[in-house]
Amino acid sequence: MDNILVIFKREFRSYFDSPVAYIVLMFFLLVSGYFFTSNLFLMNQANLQTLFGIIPLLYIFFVPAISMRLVAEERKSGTIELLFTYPIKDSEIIIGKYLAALGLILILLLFTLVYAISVSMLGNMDGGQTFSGYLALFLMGAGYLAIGVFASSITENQIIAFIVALAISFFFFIINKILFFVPPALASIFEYLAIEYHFQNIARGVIDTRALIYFFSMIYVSLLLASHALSRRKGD
Amino acid sequence: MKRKTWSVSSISSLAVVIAIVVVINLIGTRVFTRADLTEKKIYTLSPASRHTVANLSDRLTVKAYFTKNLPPPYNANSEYINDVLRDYKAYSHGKFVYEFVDPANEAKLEEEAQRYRIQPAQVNVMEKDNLQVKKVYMGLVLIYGDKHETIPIIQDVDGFEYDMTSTIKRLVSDHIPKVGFLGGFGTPDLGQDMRNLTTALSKHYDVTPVSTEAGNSMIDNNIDVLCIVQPKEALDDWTKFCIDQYVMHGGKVGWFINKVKADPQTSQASGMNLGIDDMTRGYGFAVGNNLVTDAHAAAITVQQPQGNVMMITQVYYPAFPNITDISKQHPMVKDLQQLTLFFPSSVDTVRPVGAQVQYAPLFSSSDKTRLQVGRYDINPMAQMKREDYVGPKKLLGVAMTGTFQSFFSGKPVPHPKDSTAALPSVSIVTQSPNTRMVVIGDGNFVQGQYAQGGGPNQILFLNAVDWLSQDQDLMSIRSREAAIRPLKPDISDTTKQTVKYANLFVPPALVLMLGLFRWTAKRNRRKGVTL
Repeated sequence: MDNILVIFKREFRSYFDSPVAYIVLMFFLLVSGYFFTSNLFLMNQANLQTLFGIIPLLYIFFVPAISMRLVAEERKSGTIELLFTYPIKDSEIIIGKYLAALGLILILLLFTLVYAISVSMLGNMDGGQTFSGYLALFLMGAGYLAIGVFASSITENQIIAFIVALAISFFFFIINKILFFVPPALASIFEYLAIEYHFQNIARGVIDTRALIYFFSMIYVSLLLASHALSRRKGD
Repeated sequence: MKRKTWSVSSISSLAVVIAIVVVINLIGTRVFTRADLTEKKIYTLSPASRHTVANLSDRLTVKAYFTKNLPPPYNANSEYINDVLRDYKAYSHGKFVYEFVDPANEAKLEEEAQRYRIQPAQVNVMEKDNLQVKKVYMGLVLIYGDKHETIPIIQDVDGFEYDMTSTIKRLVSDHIPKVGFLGGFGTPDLGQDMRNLTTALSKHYDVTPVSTEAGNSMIDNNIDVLCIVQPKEALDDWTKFCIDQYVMHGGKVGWFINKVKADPQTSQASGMNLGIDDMTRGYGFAVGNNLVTDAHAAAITVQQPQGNVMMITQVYYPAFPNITDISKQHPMVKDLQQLTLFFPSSVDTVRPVGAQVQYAPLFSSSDKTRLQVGRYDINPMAQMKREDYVGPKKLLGVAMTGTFQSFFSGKPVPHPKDSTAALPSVSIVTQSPNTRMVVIGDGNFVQGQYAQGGGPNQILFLNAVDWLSQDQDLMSIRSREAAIRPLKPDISDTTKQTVKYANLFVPPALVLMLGLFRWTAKRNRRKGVTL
């Protein structure tokens, strides 16, 4: 546990010591803010539906950008070897790095609370539904991020890590939008795999154990594979 | 050597772990629980539904005929329906059972579905690279004792809970609501002019004529809904008194009133005085003495002599407006896309003094309306002058809830129409309990050729009767479903602009400030080191 905390602190600080985090955050907030503000008075509804609609799409590009360097960079620069000399388990390295990036996503979502505050001042917003929506956004980000950490752990090249993460995330994103072309027998399996299906389930205002199991499975399996990939690399 | 064994064992252990995760997910789809965080608990079975199934005295069986592997978007529907039925079951103390069956490959089940009047629907399916039309079932039947009710097709799950609970209530109750139709005064004949409609109504209601002609008895208050459909002669004081006191005792009235009598054959039209305006104004509405015509109209066929031949042509007939401006909120009409009315009159709301009445507009004519007052031109061959049809739109239907004031408060009881009858000894009730009215500026649409079976006009009428007869319980389900939360109405343009720019630029600016803060802190620290 202490080891995870050490890794977490080190990674989290390094995000904010480089300009990358600021650029990613600002760009993300400009895009989400643009979509949110241009639709707010058009829809005239006191909810954050536009936000919950656009962020899943933005995640596909932004989350891999956050996660790509986590393991791959250290591997390339060789500093990972330094880590290996400490009595730290591979899974602790992965979890620590994952939590650091998750912290960044949490901060990102905290900034978007500005939207929630303005909507609640302009109309009678459903607080419970909004909370649930944010939980859905957090879980979805956490899921994509786990995929990103896995992608980063299998390569030394950040660009490859980015593209692999993007491809896998996009697969989970698109899978329920192509159901029409899928044999009906497979449709429900594909739907279950789709991240948006579970996201919507929670975002509408219902915390469903099925969705929670889905997200935790996605995170667990991805991180497990990531730490496995790291172990193998150490063996080489 | 050592490394290899380690690797193999780690891969197999990885596979085992992933298999366990898959199994947990599979179990999770069957064993699960939900917490509804929405303010109005819109995704939880409403208290009305829970109460209804908890009080079942006998076993209620639901048999859902659903084709397996429905194409999207219907596949999600069967899952949703399964969830809802499961909730019903959970609250029923074992009295509510349900099963899903697929009639696709079993002739027996298919026959059974047909017997319950569950008809297959046609949907497009992608199969073997071809777009194919597939026959699918998505309906269900509720069986209770020797009675059953069918929900033949569920294409849209909005309102599913409402349909379920209202159907269950109907099945278990011994009380069949009564719908009365005021007779006389030139109102249409139930058995002839309104035969289509009364047949449809009698599936769920006891349809009964109401007369005020003989004796001194008033309208029986065990009639749940009173429909007043298109009288053509003025109502006498006694009849008005009967209607008024029926309302004051909590009766629900559907007014289907035209103020212009029109004969499409001769193109003659004249205004009618029904003598009800004073009374209805007291309730909060008046049917205008006018004819609402609309450039957005239905087409009719007219015969026209041209030399020796009769020419048959199609013309748009403004006196038959096509109504598309329909409320998306009100349960009575929200599912309707278009209606056609025939020689309608406008419905004007007049807020009554000292009464608590809430109005829900149902539908209006388009903004290409032309209001005809006094002189009525209904000749279909008259050239439609676009410049006459410039609006404004007119309200043609409204639903009202609240407490209504008696028109007869402070007035003497009028003498019965039947001159031989004695004045009844009644005391006038001056205010109604919370009750309902529906006003529609047309009574033609429910009659004869105008009320095509199953068409939107018929649905409108049946929905109106449903809405009037419903208990508050059921309405609570509907209103929950229409959870629309608009922003405050009076937001100024400056506020809008401020909010827009604040939301667009404040969060990135905060990030920038955070960055600058970190950067300067770091630089100062470094300076500290070099010094």
